Amino acid sequence: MSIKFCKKTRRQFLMGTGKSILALPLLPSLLTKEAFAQSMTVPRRLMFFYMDHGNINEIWPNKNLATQAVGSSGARERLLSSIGTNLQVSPVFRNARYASLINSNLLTILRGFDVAANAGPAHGNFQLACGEGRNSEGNYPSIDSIFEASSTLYPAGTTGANVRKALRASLGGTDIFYQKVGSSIQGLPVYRRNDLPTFYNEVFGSLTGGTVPPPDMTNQFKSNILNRVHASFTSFSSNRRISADDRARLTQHMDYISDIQRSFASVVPPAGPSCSRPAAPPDSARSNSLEATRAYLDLMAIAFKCGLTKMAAFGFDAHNPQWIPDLGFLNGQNFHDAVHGSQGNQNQEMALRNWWRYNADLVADRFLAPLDEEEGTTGRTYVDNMVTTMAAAGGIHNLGNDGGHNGRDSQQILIGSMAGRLRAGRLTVMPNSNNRNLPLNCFLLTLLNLMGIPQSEYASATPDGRGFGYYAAFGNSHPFRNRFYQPITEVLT
Amino acid sequence: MKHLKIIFYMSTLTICITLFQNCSPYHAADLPSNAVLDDENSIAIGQSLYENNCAACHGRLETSSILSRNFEQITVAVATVPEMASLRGLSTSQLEAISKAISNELGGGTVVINPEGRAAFLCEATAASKTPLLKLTNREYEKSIDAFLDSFSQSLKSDAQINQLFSQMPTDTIVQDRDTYKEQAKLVTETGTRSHFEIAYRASQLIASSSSQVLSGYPNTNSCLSASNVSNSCFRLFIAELASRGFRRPVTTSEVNDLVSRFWDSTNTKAQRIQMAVLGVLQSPDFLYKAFDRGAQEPNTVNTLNLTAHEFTAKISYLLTGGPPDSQLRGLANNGSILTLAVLDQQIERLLNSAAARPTISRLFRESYGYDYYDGLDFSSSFRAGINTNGLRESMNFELDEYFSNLVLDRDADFNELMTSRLSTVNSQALATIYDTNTGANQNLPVARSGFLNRAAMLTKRSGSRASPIKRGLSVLEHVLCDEVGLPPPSAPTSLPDFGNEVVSTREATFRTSEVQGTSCVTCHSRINNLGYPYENFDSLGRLRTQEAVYNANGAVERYLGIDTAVSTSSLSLNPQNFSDSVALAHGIGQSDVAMMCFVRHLKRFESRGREQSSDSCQMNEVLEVMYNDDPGQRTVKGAIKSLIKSDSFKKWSY
Repeated sequence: MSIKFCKKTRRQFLMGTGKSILALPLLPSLLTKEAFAQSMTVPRRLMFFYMDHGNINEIWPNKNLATQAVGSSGARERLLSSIGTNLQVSPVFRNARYASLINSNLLTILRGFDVAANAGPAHGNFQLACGEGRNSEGNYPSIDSIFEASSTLYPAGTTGANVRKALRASLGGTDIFYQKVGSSIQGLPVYRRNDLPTFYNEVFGSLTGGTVPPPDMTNQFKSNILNRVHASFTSFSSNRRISADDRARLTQHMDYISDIQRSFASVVPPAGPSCSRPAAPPDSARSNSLEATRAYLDLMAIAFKCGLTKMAAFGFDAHNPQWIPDLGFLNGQNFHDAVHGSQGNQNQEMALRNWWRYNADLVADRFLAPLDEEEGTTGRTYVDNMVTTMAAAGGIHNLGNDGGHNGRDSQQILIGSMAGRLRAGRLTVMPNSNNRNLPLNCFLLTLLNLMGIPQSEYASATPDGRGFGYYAAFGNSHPFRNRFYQPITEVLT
Repeated sequence: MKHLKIIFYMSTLTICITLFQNCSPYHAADLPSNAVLDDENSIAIGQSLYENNCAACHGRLETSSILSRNFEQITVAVATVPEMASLRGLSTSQLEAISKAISNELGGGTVVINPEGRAAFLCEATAASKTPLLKLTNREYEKSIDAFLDSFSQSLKSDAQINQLFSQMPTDTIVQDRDTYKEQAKLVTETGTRSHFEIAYRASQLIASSSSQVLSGYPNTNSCLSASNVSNSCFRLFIAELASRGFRRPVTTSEVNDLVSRFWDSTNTKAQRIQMAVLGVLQSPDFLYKAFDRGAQEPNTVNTLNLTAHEFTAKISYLLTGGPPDSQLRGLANNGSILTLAVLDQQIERLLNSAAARPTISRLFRESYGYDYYDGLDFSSSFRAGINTNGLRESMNFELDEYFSNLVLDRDADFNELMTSRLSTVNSQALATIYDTNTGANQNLPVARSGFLNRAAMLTKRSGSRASPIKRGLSVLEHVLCDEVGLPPPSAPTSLPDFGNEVVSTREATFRTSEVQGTSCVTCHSRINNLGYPYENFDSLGRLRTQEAVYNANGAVERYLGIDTAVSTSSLSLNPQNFSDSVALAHGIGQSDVAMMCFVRHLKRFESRGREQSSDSCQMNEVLEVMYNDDPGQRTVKGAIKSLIKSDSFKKWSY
């Protein structure tokens, strides 16, 4: 066998170079989307769907499927797309949109969180994610109030006057969100089924017929006024005979005045999509849970797209939603009791699975669908650029285990990647030691991290100012004590 | 030698350890199980025991989820709740200490028996609790802005834009006490702050664009606003008058100087100067908050002040009408005569007789008894049998709003009448069908509808497809008798089980499920259920029934079961009482000291916008005395409200 040596002539070299030069303008089209994305700042947004009663492991991928080590603390991962179809990942994901999300590596399942406060009911811990009754068990602010108050997330100079910093709605009963005021906490209003018109008016009342109003001097005048009003408050707080608690509330009031003043001070309205006011929800939705759920999901999606908010929370009807067709098999038996095991394992699994699946369908069709379009020139969709959670309360650990939301091994579902900041598309299983899992607090810190919230803005949420959430029950001997105040780095890029 | 040294040091070390092992920090959890705890220390020890053993699940003591638990309930829970197994090592005395610590955290109003043999609040001389600085609620803010605009022209408040802005105010009510909506007067949010600002801004635009005639006629400005521009001296007169109205009191020269220096801007146009002045007042904390701190110090106290006459009128006016003082009240404050008893009495009567008092009375009773809160009104069409539930909620609310307003304000009802009256205003066909009557105002319903607890609003508020004696009983126990049960364990079933082939009544099913002796359920449910069983003669839509229909899967009636409404309960008094049905129970409640005391608590909470404190007991007793009066003409609910306002504590501000 002889080896041929191909010698290029000068002519051939020059011809090849010329062709290459011609191809140069085409190269950008071969660049990844990320290169373009870096040129446009995408707002960070977070949507909480609060799934009461948590999860049972039987309807989610077996954690042993995660075999690839990630990070150095024992966590493991596996691409969800390698597990199988959407239905093979979970019967909850019957909607075709989830197949698309899995194939696009935009759906993530994080597994292995200890949600329980000591051995007691885990409502008390999960409230810190998006609010649920029983805050008396913890007396801590809920995470939505942190986002709402964040000057990082909502910079004073560029946040429009019509922005609502947190939207809270629930069909799920006595959910209560909390903000910290001085040394105490204050319950926050929640929009319920009957409050749809008020929600609509408050969120969309400022939208006009679809054009961005030109800047005028009114905002400057308003800013001027508020600047002077702030001084009135300062004088009042300093000189009047009021208690320390009252002063703390006045300080909070003054902070809001400052924020509003700065929002008026920006001469040019912040750039963003112009939006028409959407149609008002039908009045019948006030007395129909399905219509109300749809309306809230529709309106919240529009609010995100229109830049009217960056954080919203919605709780699905989870006490006894007999209106859900998929629960017809209960024959009128109470849903709440069924998911706590009163009717046996089979009905427990079916009730939770069907409830999750029905609401996941609604999320897919009413919330994700309108957001599944490219956001500006980012090369990514709104869905990709934000994170949507289906966040579970407590967690009913396994079938038959009616620990009363005693979720020691729960999982959280995330959709989107926050514009590439989340290592998405995986089943990621947290390390486990001596049958103890990672406190859910770490997941909450991860969300704070994804939203770019510095620790200084949530330090007051815990007595030691280091973390976010209720840690006392986990004890000094917890195997992951050194990770208490850390986000889950294995899922952050 | 070396060995001896080692032995010496080891021995010394051992001795030291032995000597000092009892000097480690005291841990109450290590308390010997047979310790006898003296009363003086038991609360402190109980607090420590609670923090070490209970707080992890039930939260800090001050906001514990089990503040309503008594010693017996705690004991049973420890013995029976699986998650509390680790606490079974606590002794009886330790559990007693925890119980005392919990009781100590309860809101004010320990109950005693007075010399007349009636239940009363334990009245002891204690330091006054702090009076919180309350913000105007949305309702009060709207009325205050309207009143402010009225001082210029009655037409201004009809402006479409300002009314749209009012409709967009973020809600300031939250659900508290399980199932009542309460206005939050201490809640500050960014959206609320912004909304109030935009409303005030619009108000300033309306005033600034008023006609020259309107502006020149504004009081105490020497018509200077009619000039082509607003001079500094005119601005001063204007803002002084605005402030005296907006702040609900005279303003000092110093205050006017501050306002002028803060809001005067010589570069502004006339309209802008007017707007600045208006907004300077409407966005001042003195407008937005009810601050009553300008009075003289109460003798022998450090942080307690007596309200001035103007502060007193403002407080009365907001309490009774939800709005600022009118011109008559302002005049009486100016001359100080509002502080005389005769004038005060007359003015309270006048305000209670005004149209403005009716929504306030409705608000009081809505927040007390929660009749405007509904889990949902989802019933199958076959069950509804043609009753249209669209608008039914509003109709039921309206009925009870009118019920309480009419009885309290028009008929001078006493508490017993409040609990037993058959008066009703039915404004919808749906409600009329439920009551088997016609629409119409001020009609007398049948005896079975005696009192508000036998009305559709209370009967349906937490109903599902099946009426729940537990939820109905909870409403009575917690809201009418102020006996707070707290939250159930998370895994507590929220529906009745299926008994297979055995078809049992709702009452029987409830009894079997929740009143099993020896379980942790019965201690609460024996109290709850016996206040719900009397309403078994009403279905979940509030319709009267003589039998309980059992439905099959297709929604058709399969069979009928008998109704049993008789109960025995000791929740209304110290001794067990028997009631044959809900009408008898209504009459029992109407006579119950416990129920009257509960109403007094509600009244105090409504006035102070927070939980009553132990230091409020004496004041609450004054109100209670009115309700206990032997003379029916004197023991009216209106009289009780007057008594609260006339009490000494009402005129105090503590900080």
